[in-house]
Amino acid sequence: MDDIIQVSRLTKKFNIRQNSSFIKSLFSPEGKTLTAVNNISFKIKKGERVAFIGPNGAGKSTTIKMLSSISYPTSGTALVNGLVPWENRKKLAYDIGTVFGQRSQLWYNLPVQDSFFLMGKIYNVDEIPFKRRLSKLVRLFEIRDLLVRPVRALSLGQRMRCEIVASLLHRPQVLFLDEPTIGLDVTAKEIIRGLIRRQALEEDTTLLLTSHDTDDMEKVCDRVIIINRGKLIFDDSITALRDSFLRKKYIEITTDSGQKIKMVVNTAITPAKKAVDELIRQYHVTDLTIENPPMEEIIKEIYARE
Amino acid sequence: MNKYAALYSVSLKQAWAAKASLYGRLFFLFILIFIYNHLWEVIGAENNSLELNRTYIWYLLFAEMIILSSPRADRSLFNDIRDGTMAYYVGKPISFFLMRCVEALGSMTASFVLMGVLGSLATLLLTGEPPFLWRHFPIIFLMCYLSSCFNVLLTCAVGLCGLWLASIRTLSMLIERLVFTLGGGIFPLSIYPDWFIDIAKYTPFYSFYYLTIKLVYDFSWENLAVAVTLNSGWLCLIALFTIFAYGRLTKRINIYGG
Repeated sequence: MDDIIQVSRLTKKFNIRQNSSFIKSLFSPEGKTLTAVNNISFKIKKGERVAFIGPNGAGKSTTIKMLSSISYPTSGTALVNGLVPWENRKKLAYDIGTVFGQRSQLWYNLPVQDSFFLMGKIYNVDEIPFKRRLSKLVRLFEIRDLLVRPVRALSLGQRMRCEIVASLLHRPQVLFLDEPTIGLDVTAKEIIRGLIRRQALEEDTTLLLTSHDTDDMEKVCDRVIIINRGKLIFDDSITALRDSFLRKKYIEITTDSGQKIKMVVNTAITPAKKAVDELIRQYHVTDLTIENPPMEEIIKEIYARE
Repeated sequence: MNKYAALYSVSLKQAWAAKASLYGRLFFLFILIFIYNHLWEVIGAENNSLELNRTYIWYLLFAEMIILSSPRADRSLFNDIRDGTMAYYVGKPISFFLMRCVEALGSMTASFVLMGVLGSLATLLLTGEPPFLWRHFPIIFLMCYLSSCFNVLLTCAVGLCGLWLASIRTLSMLIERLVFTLGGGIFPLSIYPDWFIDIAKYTPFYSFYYLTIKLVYDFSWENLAVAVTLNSGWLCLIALFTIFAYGRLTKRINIYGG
């Protein structure tokens, strides 16, 4: 398979002004350089679903912005579908789709279908292929009831489904998803993850998904790249990460007396099911959650092993 | 162009749907016409010049149609630059600046047409026949519409100055005052001293507002030709500035954080 994304020694530095007074900054500007992305390299094959994860401020979004032609790197190169993103913005736009969890590309006051219509026009999709495509995506993402509703009247989960549909209308080969599940509740997150994976598998779309939620990568992707403080610290399959670093599970139960009990289980020694069974046997459990270790802990462990 | 036409039509549809905003502007226009009509009736009766009142109110109607119909595109564009919204459109096959301009044009058109029809009717009932011939009405209406388009472009250009300025409020206020004074937005420039008119002539406000609206009471093919020529020239200049500024802007984009 061909590499659809090639990143080589990509670096992005920001100059931050520090002068407190305007006059002083005119004559002797002071500032410091912040390296958001530090010399990272990786390749992604066509159809791969890659999670690009790291804690807040790791440089995930900055990398995705460079790859999706939104900003320029300080040094290094990248090719997305054979094009340098920041030099071929308009051309590349037809090959990629972008979803930014904290930004909307839909028209806030318009009904969802009008936003889709405009997106189709922006990407020069002809009328008949557009209708066919929309109909397929509407079915895939189960949004038929939302089409006539104004974007402002949608819940965050519903809006996110529509955002993803909007970014897929022009059949992009690569879909960049920047924190697509941010702010969503557990159920909505599950639905979004399932839909993203289903679409990618069905249409062989290459995914690059950023998140600081390890569940996003486990449910959607096959490969994971971990970035911390701008540096790439892990690049392997989800299975490899799971075997090495996701063995711990955090189990929390609430008993009928309202007491909360937390425990950490190493699944290499005790299977999660056995631990849960034991807890249920010992307590009257009214609520139970099982979580992966937080991102920060995985990173700490990666460094510790190095 | 297809995409911009689609944007224009959707914006127009949206503006018609936002009735509160449309009627609010219309109400303000009626209030203005009513107050100034009353004021000039009193002055006109004292000076025996009611004819002047009729001419002035029709002038005021077209001036206010241009000014009031324009949405606050400068503020929204400035906010889009500052909060990074614009950056997210850089990677889309559309010019973000043109997109916002076309959206503002759609919104302006709805207000302009409504004000033109209902405002003319109200002025007709208040003051009587207009100072121009009815057969010239479509030309005057179209010229004023083009001036209104220029007004939208100007406000968008002011918004684009957010690239260099920390706040555009002062600049917006300055442009508004210049439209009222140098453009004759409240009173025709003919009431001002000659030196003031000489200064105004070197600005786009003179042709886009005063010369255009002047066709209401002084219509001639010669005046029309002068207005069209000057407006075209200024339009090219403003368009060149915006193309330059937008080009600079898209090259300077930096988005901090996620």
